[in-house]
Formats: sequence, C-alpha cells, structure tokens
Amino acid sequence: MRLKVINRQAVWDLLCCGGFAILLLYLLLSGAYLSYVSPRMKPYIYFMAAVLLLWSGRSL
Amino acid sequence: MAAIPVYVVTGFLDAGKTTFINQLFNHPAWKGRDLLLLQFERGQAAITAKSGRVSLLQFSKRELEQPSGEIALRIGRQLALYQQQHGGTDYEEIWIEWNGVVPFEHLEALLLEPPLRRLCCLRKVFQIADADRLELLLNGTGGLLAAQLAVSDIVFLRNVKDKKQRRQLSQQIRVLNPGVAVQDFWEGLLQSRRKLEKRPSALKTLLGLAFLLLLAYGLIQPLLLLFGADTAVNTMVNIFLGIILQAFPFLLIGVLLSSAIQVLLPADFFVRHFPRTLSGGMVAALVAGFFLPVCDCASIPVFRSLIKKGIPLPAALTFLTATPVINPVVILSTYYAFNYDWSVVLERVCLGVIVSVLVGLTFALLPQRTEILQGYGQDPLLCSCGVYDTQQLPVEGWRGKLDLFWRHAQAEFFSVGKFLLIGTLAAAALQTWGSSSGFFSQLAGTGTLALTMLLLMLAAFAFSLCSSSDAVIARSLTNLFPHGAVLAFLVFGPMMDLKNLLLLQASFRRRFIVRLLLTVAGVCFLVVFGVFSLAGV
Repeated sequence: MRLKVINRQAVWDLLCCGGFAILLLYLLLSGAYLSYVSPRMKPYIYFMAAVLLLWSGRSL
Repeated sequence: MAAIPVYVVTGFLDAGKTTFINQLFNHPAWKGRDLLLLQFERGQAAITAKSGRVSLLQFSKRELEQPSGEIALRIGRQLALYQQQHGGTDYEEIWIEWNGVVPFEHLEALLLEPPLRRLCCLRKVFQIADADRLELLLNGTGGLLAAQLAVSDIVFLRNVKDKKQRRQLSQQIRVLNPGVAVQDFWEGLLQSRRKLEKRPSALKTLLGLAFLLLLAYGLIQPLLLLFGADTAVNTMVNIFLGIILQAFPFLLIGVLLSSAIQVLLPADFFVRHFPRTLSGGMVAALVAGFFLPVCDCASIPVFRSLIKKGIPLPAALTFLTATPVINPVVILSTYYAFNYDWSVVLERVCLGVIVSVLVGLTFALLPQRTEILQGYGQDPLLCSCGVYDTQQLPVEGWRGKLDLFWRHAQAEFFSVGKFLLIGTLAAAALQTWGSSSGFFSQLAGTGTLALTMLLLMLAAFAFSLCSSSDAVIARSLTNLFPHGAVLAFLVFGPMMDLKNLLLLQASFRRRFIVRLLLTVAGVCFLVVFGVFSLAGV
C-alpha cells in the first residue's frame, strides 16, 4: 500500500510504546527484571509488553 | 514549497466566530496579507475584512454532507487559481470558520484529501465559547463539544461574568484538554500575531528536556561522589524502577478494565444488573474485589468508570478499598511472606473487609453532597481522553467498539501514568530516606500500640508499597513492632497511599479525596486498634 502522509503523533506512539515494550522484553529475557521485582511479576510484565507492542503496531 | 498554515475557528451557533474573524482580520497585524477564508457556516454577521486581501469560499451544510473530496477539489482549484494569478506564490494563510455541530473529524478528513494534504498544514484550532452556555452545551451535545475542546489550542470565552466563573470554566475545560490555553474573548483579539503563531515543538521540548537531564546528571554526579551520596541516588533509582515495574502492569490492567466498562458495556448495564439495596451492592463490590487479581493501582481507574456508570458511591468505595486487600494475589503473597501462616492472611482479609464496608457505610450515612468527579465526569461520554463515541459520529459494530476501546485505554494509560510516575518518584525518595536513616529501627522503641500504629500507617502511606508485595516488608517488621501495628500497615497501605492519592487527583475533586483519606485512615485506625487493644486479641 502506498504511504500517504506521515503522522508524527503515530511515529511517536510507535517509538514510545515499541521502545518501552522492547525494554521490558529485554529485562524479562535477560532475567534483569529480578533485580527489581519478584518472579511472580513475570506474567504481568509479559502481558504489559504484549499490550505495548499491540499499541505500537496499531500506530503503523 | 512550504505548506500553507491553516487556522480553524470553531464554536457553536452564535458563539461569535465571524465577529472574532472580522476583528482579527481588521487588526493591523494582518494588514496587507493574502488570506483565504473558508466558511462552513454562514453566521449572522458578515465578513467585513478591510486590512487584508481576503478571498472567501462558502459551503452550505448540505455541501458538507457530500463526500469531502468534492469540497477539497473546489478548495484545490481556488488555490491553483491564486497561484496562476500571483506568479506561483500561495496564500499566506488559510482560515476556516467551522460549524460547531459538525464533528471535527470531518474537517481533519477534508484536510487529508489528496488535493490539500500536501498544500495545507493545520496550525491552530481556536474554540469560541459563550461562558453562560458552555456547561449546558457540554452536557447536551453528546460529546461533540467535548471532542472539539479536546483538540483546541486556545479557548476564547465570551460574556464571562467574573473571575470566579472564569476560573471554574477554565478548570472544567482543562479536564477535557489539560494543555489548552483559556483566554477572555476580547483579550484574545488583542493578541499579537507572534503569540498566535507561536507553536511549541514536541520534539524540541523532548530533546531539550533530555539534554537538561543529561547535563544535570553530569553536573551532579561528581558532587554526589564528593559527598558520598551516590549510593543513596542509586538506591533511589533502583527503588523507583522496582515500583514502576510492579505498578505499571497493574495500572494497565486497571485501565483496560476501566475502558471495557466505559466503552463495551451498555450505558445502562449497571443500572439494570447491579443490586439496588445498600447491602446487596456492598456484597457485590466485595465479590468483584475478590476476583480482581491486581494491586491498588488497578482499582482506581475501575473505580472511576464504575462511578461514571452510575454505581452508588458507597458500593464503589467498598470495591475501591477492599480490592487491594482481599484479592488472590495479595492473599497468596501474604501467605508466602508470613511463612505459610493462614492466621495473618485471615486477619488481613477480615480487617480489610470490615474497614472497606465501614468506609462505604460512612458515605451512605453522610452522603457526599458535592460533585466528586472533576469537570464533566458525571456524563458517561466525557473524560479527558479525547476519544468519544458521539451521536453525530457513532461508532458502529464490534470492530469500531474494539478500536475505540484500545484508543480509550491508550489515552487513559498515558493520562493517568504521569501521576503514577510522580507518586512513584516521591515514594522512592521517601523509601531511600527511610532505609538510610534506619527509620523502622528508630520507631521500634516508641512504645504504645496506638502510636506505633499511627507511625506505621504514616510509613505505609508515604512509601506507597505495592499491595502485592508489601507483606514481605511487613514480615520484617514483626520483630520490631506490635502485631496490631503491622496489621494496620498491611490494611491501610493498599487502601490509601501517596501514589494512590496522585492517581485519584487525576479524576476526582480535592474535597472528596481529602474526606476519603481521612475516613479511611480514621476507620482503619479505630477498627485495628479496637480489635487488638480493647478486644484483647
């Protein structure tokens, strides 16, 4: 599909939500999240990363 | 070639849009400028511009009902004609007088049509509103005016009686659009061109802020090392990140639930299905609280949406205060933290239920007479998210509803999230101070149950621990403090703390928040003190 117009707000949404999601996934996959919270939080953080990825995908 | 700046003047009938445009165009600052005025509403006043060279294109409401491509073509032809006549130069500005009863999305769609999207750039939106009719219109236009206020850069108020009315209206408008400037109509007319054109760049602001933070860090780092405070700052940063990682997922769940209630459930769902009696309502609130496996950050957005959907305040308050204490995550975390001791879990849950029911009852016996939600919160359609399902632009089908649900949740998450960030920062600073100064060990020798209870409740409020993990801290206090004081810490903390207070402030009025804080603190103290002291448990 041809790109019509670049919407700056959508780009910022993509960068902010996507960046935050990638950071969370990095913390989870590297195990670094255990320095801050207990393992019980793992599914909740995965859920948050998934929602943030969905939000960033919606701004495309 | 630079895009032509577009300025929009919008407002309801008789708001004074044409008068505003006339005064503006006759201002010396517009002298000699070539302007194109697009009028989508023929007001009672006529255009009488003298200073500038104004080309006028008018469109009737019937033309607006046609596909926007035809209007865009007509405007595009006018722009091309002007270019031909003026050796390739464009109009300096395009001004649009927009009909307030037509959704603003139509105008945005029009400006994105192929003939216009590369030629025009929407610069500013001015809302003209009559002070006396603003509240009436907000409640009676099904979200239409709210949606317009949410996209406005400046709101010009006409016929403002006094400073008090101006302040009240400004507060209500800023609930719908926190960044909007609210100005008096005539004062606005006298604004200089420069001020009207001034447009802060979000990117520049963000980069500037990042630069300042880096600079501040670079300057402070050697000083911290010099005074040996770098450990404290690192501790604070770690505590801050810990709270953020713990609180944000729960806030997200709360926001998703809140948006589902707001967007997906029919407006009269709770009115039809929620128990009508006080006792039935409270039991329903406790059952709902038990099945919501989240911390206190999640219950506040849900509480707000329940109030908006018409749930009685006592039942909603019971839900708000009980949820963070009695849900399965909290029960299990307390169970593990206290070495598989069910008695502590039972005490926490039972006291939590008693306190939350009593808090609800106080609001049933002494009803809150003033409005509790900020701005136009009682209208189920209106909040500060800027995402509305208006009567004029209804959302159709499940796909549309789902799209609205995600947009609403995203807007609410970022709107409430900033309050959580501020609260978390304050809590992290207080926790760092608490741990470095040996706060708890200093308190240990203070003696009486009442005093230690008060001090631990104060600590729970200031430290804003997540209700799913505060039991670990409470366990470490059992050797230092009486059991009753530890229970007060475990019951009061999740119900009311510093970060909850800031989250509540995002949606509720200060008077209500103060009453809620004092009631929860008072009831919690009396109940726990009564059980552990007078009854001799």
